[in-house]
Amino acid sequence: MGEKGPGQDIIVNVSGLAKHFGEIHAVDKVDMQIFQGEILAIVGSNGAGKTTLLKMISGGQSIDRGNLFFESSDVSRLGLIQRARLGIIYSFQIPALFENLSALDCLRMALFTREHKTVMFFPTIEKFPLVRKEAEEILDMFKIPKDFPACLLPHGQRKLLDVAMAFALKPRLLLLDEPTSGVSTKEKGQVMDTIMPIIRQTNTTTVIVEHDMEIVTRYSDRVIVMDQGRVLAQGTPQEVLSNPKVGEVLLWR
Amino acid sequence: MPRRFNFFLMIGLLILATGPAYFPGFTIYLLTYGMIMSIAALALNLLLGYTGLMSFGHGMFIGAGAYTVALMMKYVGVHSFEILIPLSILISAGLAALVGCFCTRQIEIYFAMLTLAFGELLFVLCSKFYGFTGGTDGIRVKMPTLFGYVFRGSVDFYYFVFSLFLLCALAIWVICNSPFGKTIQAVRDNALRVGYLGLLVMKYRLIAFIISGAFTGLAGVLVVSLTGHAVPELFQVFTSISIVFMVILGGHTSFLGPVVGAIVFVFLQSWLKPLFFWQFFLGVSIILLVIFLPGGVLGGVSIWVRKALAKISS
Repeated sequence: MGEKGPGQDIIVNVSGLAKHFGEIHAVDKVDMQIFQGEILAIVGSNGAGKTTLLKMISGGQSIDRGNLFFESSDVSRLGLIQRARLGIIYSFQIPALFENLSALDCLRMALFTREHKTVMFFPTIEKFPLVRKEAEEILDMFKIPKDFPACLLPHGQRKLLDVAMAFALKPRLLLLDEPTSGVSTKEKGQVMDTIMPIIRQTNTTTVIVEHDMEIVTRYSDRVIVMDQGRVLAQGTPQEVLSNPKVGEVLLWR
Repeated sequence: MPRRFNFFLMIGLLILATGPAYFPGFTIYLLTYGMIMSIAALALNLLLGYTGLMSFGHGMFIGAGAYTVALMMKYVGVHSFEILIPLSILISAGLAALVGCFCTRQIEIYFAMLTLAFGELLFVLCSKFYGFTGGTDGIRVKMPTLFGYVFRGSVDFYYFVFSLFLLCALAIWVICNSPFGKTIQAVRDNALRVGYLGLLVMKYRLIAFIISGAFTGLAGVLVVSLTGHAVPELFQVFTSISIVFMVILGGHTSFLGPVVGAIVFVFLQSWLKPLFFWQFFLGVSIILLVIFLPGGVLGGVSIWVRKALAKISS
C-alpha cells in the first residue's frame, strides 16, 4: 500500500478553520491538508470536533473563520449543494437513507443525481438499463441485497448502503463519518473489509472519522489526532501511536 | 401479488368502460364526477403520498380551472375544450408556481396552512369582485365543444372524461415512476440526505406542486363542465378537504388508492346528502377509517384479500 502523504498533490487545504457553538470551540484554528488518493483518518475522543470538522468540509456546517481550498479554489463560502456538485460527498454516521425505497432505488436515485437526470418525468426508471446495471454492480460490491426497502435492512447493511450511495456519486473527496459506529465489534471488520478495497481500487480520496485505533492502523495511510477542537498530532499510524501525547488522549480506550 | 392486482384493475376498468350500457343515468353522472375527482386526487397524492407535502389548498386549482372556463366563455366567447383545457392547465400551473414559491420554502404544517390561506384568499377575491366574477352567484357555464363536436348526452361526456381520466392516470403514474418521481420520494423520506447528494430540495417540491396543480386545474375544467356552474366555493377549503379526504379514504400509500377514494367519496356523498346532517356521517366515517383502516380502503381491502387467500390456501 505505498507510502502516501506529503509530496503528492494536495486536494484539500484547510487553514485556520474555526467553528464555535456559543462558548464551546468545537473546531479551533485547524490547519490540515488532504492529499490526492490517500485515506486519511481523523481520530479523537468524543467531542473532539471530528464530525464538526468533517461537516465543515462537506458544507453541512458553516465556517466561522478560516479558509477551505478544494482543488486550489476557495470553497469556504460555497453551500452544501454546490460543494456536493464539486464532488465533496459526505456519508452519515447515522445512516440517512430513503427508508421506503428499496436499496436498488436508493442507489439509482444517487446515480440519477450524478447523471443530472432527476428532472426527467419520463420514461419510468426501468427504462434505464445502464443505471440499473451500475446500481446492481455497486450493491454487489457492497454486499447489500437489492430488493428490500432500506428500512428493513440490518444496521450493518444500512451503514454500507449509506456509504454506497455516497460512493455512487463518484466523489472526488469522500467523507465517511464513523462507518463502523453502532456496529458490533465482530462486524466492524466486515464492514471495513467491504468498504476499503473498493475505495483503494477506485483510488478515491477518503477521510474517515473513527474511534477505533485498531481499525485506523489497519486501513488508513495517515492519521490526524484531534483533541478539544485542535490538531494534536499527525503522521503515519505508527508515528501517531508512538507519540506520547496521543497516548494520553486516547488512553481511555 | 402484482398479478392479482392487475386482475382487480382489469375488472375496475371493464366496469368503467362498459358502465353506461347498464347503469342508470344518475349513476353515470356520479361515475363521471368520480373520475373527474380521481384526477384531482391522483394529482394531490403526487404531493401528499409521493413528495410528503400536505396541501389544504388544492381547491384553488379546481377553482382556477373552473373560472378559466367560465370567464373565457363569458368575456371572450371561447367554447371549445381544445382551447380551454390547455389554457386552464397553463393558468393552474402558473398559479401553482406563484403560490409554490411562497409555500414550498415551508414544510409540514406550515406548508399546509399556507396553501389553505392562499385558497381562502382566492375564494374571497372571487366572491367579492362581483362585477367581474358574478360574486357568490357564480357564472353559468355551457358544456364546451370538442373540435366542433357537441356533447349531446351524458354518455358522450362520460367517455370523454373516461379517456382523459385514463390519460391523466397514466401520465401521473409515469411521472411517479420516473427519475423525478423517485427523487420526490427521496425528498419525502429524507430531505436532508437529498441535499447532501447535491440537489436543491425546494426545487423538487416546487416542481411537484406545479405538476399537481396543473392536473387539478384540468379536473376543475371538467367539474364545471359537468355541473354547469362555476361558484367561488370551488376555491374554498371544503373542496380542498374533500380531495384530501378522497386520498386518505382510498389510501395514499398505493398509486390507485386515490381513485378508489374519489369514487367511493362521490357515492357516499350522494347517499348521505338526503340526510339532514350528512357531514356528521362523513366525519364519523373518517374517524372510523383512520382508526380501523389506516391504509385507506384500498390498503385495507388488499390486506383482507391477502388474509382470506392465505386462509383458503392453508
